[in-house]
Amino acid sequence: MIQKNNYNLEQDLHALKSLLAPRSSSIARSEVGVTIAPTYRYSYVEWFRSYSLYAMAAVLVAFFTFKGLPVSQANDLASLDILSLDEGDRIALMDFDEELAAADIEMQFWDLAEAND
Amino acid sequence: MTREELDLLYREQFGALYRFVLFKVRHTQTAEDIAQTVFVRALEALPKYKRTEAPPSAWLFTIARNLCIDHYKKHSSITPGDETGFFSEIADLRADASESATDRERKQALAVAVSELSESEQEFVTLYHIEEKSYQEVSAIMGKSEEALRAINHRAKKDLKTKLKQFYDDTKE
Repeated sequence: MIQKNNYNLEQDLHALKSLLAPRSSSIARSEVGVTIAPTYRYSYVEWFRSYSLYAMAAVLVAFFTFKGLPVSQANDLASLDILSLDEGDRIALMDFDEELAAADIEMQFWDLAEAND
Repeated sequence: MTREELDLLYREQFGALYRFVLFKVRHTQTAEDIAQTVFVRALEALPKYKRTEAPPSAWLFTIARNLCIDHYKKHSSITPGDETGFFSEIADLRADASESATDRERKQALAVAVSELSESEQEFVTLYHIEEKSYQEVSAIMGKSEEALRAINHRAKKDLKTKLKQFYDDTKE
């Protein structure tokens, strides 16, 4: 005997609407502050994966940049002399030297003060 | 469209957007996130929005579809999970006390079957059968003619009935 099921596909499909409703907290969040960008949930693996790629790219860029420099420029960089700098850079470096000297004097002062105590 | 109109439209469509995305990503939390991001994207694009013949909701669904594509591009390693387990979990959460176990089982199986349909069939079933949108609206959202949609409808129902033979087909006793 052939028996036809009573189930109606279209009715059941429509019933999925209530079965698959978003959670109440999600609706509340969207009603209260829809303009707030949602916080994405990244796994540590994804973070590691994306950041390790950036790090690798940075290392490669640095490697090829320095490898590509002519030897003379590399030597210039290594023996950076204050005389080879323009005036602005020279002043900046001198200021730094002065600050370094001042810090040195201050350290000496505190050493002396400590010795006197 | 004003910001207030968009806000109202989004609230009306939130559930439908969520289900539209859910069948694509098969993950409740991701579906909620994407459905919320739709509003943020729509808000950003609001100054450029131009009224067309298509209903404004079609614009939101297009944004949702693009966000799903972006999601899969960003997370290319994602593989479809255990949909049966996923939908069972959902069905348990929304279990209706008056519903029999058989009814629940049938709806779970149906939800799984919908998630396994082809992209166009799945979108059509979600929008037309589950959300009860008109052919005109579905046509605007999917960018397909009504004739094409009728063919998709025929194929989708046939596929679902084949997959769920025990529920929706003639059975021999």
